Amino acid sequence: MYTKEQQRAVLTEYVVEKASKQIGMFTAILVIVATIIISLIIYTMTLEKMKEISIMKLMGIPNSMIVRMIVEETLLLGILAFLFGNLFSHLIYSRFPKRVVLEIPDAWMLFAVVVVASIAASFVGVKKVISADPAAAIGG
Amino acid sequence: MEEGIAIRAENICKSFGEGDSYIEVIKNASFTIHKGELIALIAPSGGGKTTLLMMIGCVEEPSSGKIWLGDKQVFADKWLTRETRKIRREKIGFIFQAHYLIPFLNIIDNLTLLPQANKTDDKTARAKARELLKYFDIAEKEKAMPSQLSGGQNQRVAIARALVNEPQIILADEPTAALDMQRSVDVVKMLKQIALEQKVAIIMVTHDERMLPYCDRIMKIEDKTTIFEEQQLQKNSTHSD
Repeated sequence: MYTKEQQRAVLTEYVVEKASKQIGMFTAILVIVATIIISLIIYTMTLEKMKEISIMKLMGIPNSMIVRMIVEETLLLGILAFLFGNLFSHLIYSRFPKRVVLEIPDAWMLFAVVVVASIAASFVGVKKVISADPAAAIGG
Repeated sequence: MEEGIAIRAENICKSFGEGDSYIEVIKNASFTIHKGELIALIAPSGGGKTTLLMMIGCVEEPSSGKIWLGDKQVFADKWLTRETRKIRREKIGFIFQAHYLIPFLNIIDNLTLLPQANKTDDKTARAKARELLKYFDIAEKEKAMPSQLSGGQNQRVAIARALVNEPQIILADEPTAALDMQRSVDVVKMLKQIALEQKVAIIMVTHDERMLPYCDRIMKIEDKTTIFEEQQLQKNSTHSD
């Protein structure tokens, strides 16, 4: 037998907490999936640029400078994805069957997660850059 | 070391593999190239031109021998410095078969990439790049992307890029391969002029015998070693045209 207070707690806090955990879980899964997708995109984009990367290495451009370009590209992708995602969610959140509250501190936290995830996603591209052979630039 | 020498190689050898797969590509190649010379490097396909170019360019490590770039010895059976990339950045310019400009950078950014790597301040790098673009008559294209330029214009930008760090040596791997006859002659004459004016030694790999008369000397790879054919034809053609 629940008291009135306990009933309120079950109906509000528990439900809210559960929904919050679910949303948090969805967000985490989406961030992981997005990181994998960005990694694959960056890997493909880096593969397409291997000739140019070999040329830069042949000319003597240090790895740090080429790596910076790859990381910047990944960050740009991540930030654009975050901006469009946020814009899209603000446009459609009122149509959700359950009421959703979009809070600015949450968005900033997600932004920080996106930045970290983007840097992690650039790792595959960076690895490819470091292994690029400068001799591949010459002779076809 | 004699003044005016840009490259000196002594008994450089290069082999690949071991046992049954052992291949010797270059054997005891010795040569001296002076500042201001345009050298044509010729050999049959698979004859070791690219390997030789890569060894001079501090990319491929010779199996043995000695190499000097200017007055600095860089190789004596092993690299004498761990920073071969720094040597390339500071002393060597590269020109390729195609222009190979970085497609996502505009012309001026393509030219300032190497000075930036050398920690040259942006203003100086841009001034030098603009000076070169003006020299090559493409100053108005500095904001254009490589895809917006013609093949000949891009190749001129590529030559400008090779010069932007004021190198002592330029290694050109068939720079005229993608150009028609007239543009090829223009590019080779331009290289000769650069060699003379800027006291740069240029080694140009070519398959096109029509370009040979514009070069000072012809270096051939025969029996895995290098020999020179003296060449005086049209030596002063760059200035008379």
